[in-house]
Amino acid sequence: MAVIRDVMPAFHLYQPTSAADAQKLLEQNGTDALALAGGLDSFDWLKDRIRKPKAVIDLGGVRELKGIRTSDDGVEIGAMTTLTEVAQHPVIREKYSLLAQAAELVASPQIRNQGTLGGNVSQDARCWYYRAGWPCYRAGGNICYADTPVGRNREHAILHADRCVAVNPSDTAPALIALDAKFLILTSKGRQAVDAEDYFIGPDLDITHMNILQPGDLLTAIRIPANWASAEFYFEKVRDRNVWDFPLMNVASAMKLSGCTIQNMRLAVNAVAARPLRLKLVEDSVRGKVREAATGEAAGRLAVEGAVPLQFNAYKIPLMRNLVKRAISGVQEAAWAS
Amino acid sequence: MGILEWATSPLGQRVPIHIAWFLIWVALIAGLVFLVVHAIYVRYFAEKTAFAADPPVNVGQLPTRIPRHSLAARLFHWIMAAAIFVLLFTAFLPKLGFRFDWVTYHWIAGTVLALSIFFHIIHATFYLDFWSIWPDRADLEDARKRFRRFMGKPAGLPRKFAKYPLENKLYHGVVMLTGLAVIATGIFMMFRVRTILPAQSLFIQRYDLGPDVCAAWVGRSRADHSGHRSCLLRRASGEITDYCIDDRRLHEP
Repeated sequence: MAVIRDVMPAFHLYQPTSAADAQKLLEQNGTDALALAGGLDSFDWLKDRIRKPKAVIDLGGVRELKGIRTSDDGVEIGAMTTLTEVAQHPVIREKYSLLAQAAELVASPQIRNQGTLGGNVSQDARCWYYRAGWPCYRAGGNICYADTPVGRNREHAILHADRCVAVNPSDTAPALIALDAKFLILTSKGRQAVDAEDYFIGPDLDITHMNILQPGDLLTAIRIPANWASAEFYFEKVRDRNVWDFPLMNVASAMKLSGCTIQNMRLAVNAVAARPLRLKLVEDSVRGKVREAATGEAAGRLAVEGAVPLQFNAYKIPLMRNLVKRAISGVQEAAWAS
Repeated sequence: MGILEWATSPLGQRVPIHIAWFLIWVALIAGLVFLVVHAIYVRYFAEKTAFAADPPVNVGQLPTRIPRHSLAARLFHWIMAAAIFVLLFTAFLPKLGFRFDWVTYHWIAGTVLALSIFFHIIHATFYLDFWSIWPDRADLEDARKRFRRFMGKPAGLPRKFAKYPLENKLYHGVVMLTGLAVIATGIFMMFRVRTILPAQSLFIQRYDLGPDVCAAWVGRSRADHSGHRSCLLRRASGEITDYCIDDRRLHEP
């Protein structure tokens, strides 16, 4: 249990200098390996002595995983690029400001200096029952301690819960989904590119993992195409403490307008389910409509259809409804007509 | 190496999590070994079983065709078989790394199995010869004779069985116990799954029993459930063996 917050368990530390070597080490060590990026998630697990990997693969020395490469086709961001670099990069601020906003709202400046984009999208759930080492479903056990009448579940899921009710806590994930990003993965079979929304998985598919990475897989970069460059963006994060906190919920949208009419849109929310959700039905419902309060309200209502609150998180339903409305009609239209 | 895997709950209880997963392989290997040994025995060693002569029957009084199983019984059999196969695949494929929404298929198949068995109990009790599937005194006497003859000791010829041989009756009994245990423990597992059925809301309502009691129910049910499903895996392979290998000559005079 999480009582010793000091001495980490012993492990073999590997410090590869190339992505190929890193992938090979991950593959050789299989489920005994832990890939270490910024360490902000990993060190919690290690210092709490809940995870005891035999091998830690430190990716800090792999230069090809760092940096931002721009081209006419878009931008490719190495998985080990820090969130500060992402948030301050001039091209990202100019053309993909949605991601810059999202990265800038992650935790605190110190954490953004250390934390990486790859780590932010691949981080584990923050449910305290799970993080404290209790034998819940996500930990391979047989119960969800949060989904009970006395469970502390204020921050948990309202959509797509399947035994586990933990949520994905990433801020950059919905922005990357809205930007139609591709995640580049190096596996034993070669390189693979997956859509951002397909990188994340819910408990229905695999209750012990939050993304598709298998043992031996390495996320190397995230590629953002130019399709949505300089579109109309909206990002909002709601949290308890505005200086430094995980999201209670966040929303990201990219919109193309023709006058006041919505030509095309991509919209994603996070911290409502175990994976960031792209709201395709909402996107379809607003396409071709005038960008106004009524459109936003209808979209907000559609977005929360099927939501099931737990004992202490019913507030997330109106919160999601309002965030979706604001993402579509803008903050100035935020007041609800009804 | 324990048969059960245990953990400590937030309430300080030692709770069973599930059976050790290696037992899945034990069940599978046991099934395959049974299949091979049974096939070798039937092919090379089994002798034709001799039965005592039947009492004379007026053949003219018999209908030209005597159905062994009614349509309802056959439908039940295949629905149950399909449900069990879906349950086995959806239980074990995720353990082998296949990712799919197995819980949905699993609880639906479990519900079909439970309903089909409920139907079977009613049908067999009130519309069929209820006692025909249960071992009786004649079965035990004939089993003793067969065993003595198998061991080379003097014994009279066993009588020809009626509808079911003793092996079928015993097999039915074991499958019944396992099936009912899987259903009972599966119902407890349903308390933690969101479905159109009201099981989870019943769990929430009965939470006044105490979270420790509820956690223990679900935990023990999962341990039992995983244990019984491994037994079902072993028995399903036995059933397939019986079905695939023509061993009628063991029983026919």
